[in-house]
Amino acid sequence: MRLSCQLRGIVSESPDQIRAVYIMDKDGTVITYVTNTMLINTSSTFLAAPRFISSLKGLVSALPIGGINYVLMQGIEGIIQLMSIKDVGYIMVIINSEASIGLTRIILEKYADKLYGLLRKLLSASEEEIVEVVNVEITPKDIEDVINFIRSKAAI
Amino acid sequence: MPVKTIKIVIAGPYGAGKTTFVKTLSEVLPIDTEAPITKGLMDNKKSTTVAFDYGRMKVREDLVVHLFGIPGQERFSFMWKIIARGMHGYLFIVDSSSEERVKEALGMYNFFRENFPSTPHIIAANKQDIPTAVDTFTIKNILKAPYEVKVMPLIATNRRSALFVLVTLLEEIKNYLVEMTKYSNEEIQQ
Ligand SMILES: Nc1nc2c(ncn2[C@@H]2O[C@H](COP(=O)(O)OP(=O)(O)OP(=O)(O)O)[C@@H](O)[C@H]2O)c(=O)[nH]1
Ligand SMILES: [Mg+2]
Repeated sequence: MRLSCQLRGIVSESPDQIRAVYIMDKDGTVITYVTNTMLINTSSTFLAAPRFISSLKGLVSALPIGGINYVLMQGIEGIIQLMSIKDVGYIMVIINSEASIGLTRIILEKYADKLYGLLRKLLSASEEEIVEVVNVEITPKDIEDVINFIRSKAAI
Repeated sequence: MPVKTIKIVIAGPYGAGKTTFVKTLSEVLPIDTEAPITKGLMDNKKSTTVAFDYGRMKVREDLVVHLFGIPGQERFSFMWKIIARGMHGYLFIVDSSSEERVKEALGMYNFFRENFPSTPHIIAANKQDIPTAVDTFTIKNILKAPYEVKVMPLIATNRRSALFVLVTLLEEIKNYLVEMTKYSNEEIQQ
């Protein structure tokens, strides 16, 4: 399929460094992925570890910008670089050594538009939904609540 | 109901104690940290944070605090700005076991001051349990921190100490928000 071809393009850009590219929806269900040893186009779902996904979600929701941004994480094989599209889904690129962070970044930058369009098509989300920035103002009272919460939990 | 997120960054150079700080806090507070996906590779603690430490604490249904520890090594400096963007405040941790170690922090501290000039922050002089530890006054001098920036002694392995530093940072953030509110109210009145 079209999608897989585009993913394959990304992987073949740097076959020895990029292990895999996954596209997941917002619940962490992998919609399609490709690795450098095989090309799999799934309609069958593959569920990533829920805890891992929930922490990814936490991370993503804390990032203040909409649209596309980068999140980098340490993984078994080096760095997992995650590209998030707020509230819509994730694109995850797995690479095999930490030395290749810079390279992956360049590749992601190069393919950003393509991946972005891909995910939008997949999830039939509108442009507005994807770039929406949710920015709720924090008040002094909120911080006060956090301090009180800490005091109550830690008994200080 | 939109969820509010408070974003706090834990900065500081390589080996300052950022990971230790987040870990100690997570022992006393209900902080959800990343599931380690590095199984096997980290059996001795000489590991360095390649990406970043992360902790999430739910205060209310609609209020969550996120802690981000950033990688200290200079070669990861391209990530500093990405991770710090949109933060409400940061803790800058230095290894205060010797003046040399404190001096090593100057570059990163200046980076934060230049890129986030008005973001509330405090400095933590970590490893105060070490007999040769440099005092907070000297650290403030070396880092050329502005007069109003607090430098707190810290032992990141100690729960009370870590909590105290976190609460102090939150108070700074609160004061800053109070000032901001005052300022914008004055503007409206004029
Ligand atoms: N004596 C003493 N040692 C500490 C303290 N805090 C941290 N350490 C030690 O300092 C070393 C570095 O601590 P980390 O928490 O890994 O430092 P980091 O800032 O996360 O370092 P990077 O992730 O590499 O940038 C570890 O061996 C810790 O055990 C402290 O309060 N006292
Ligand atoms: Mg660390």
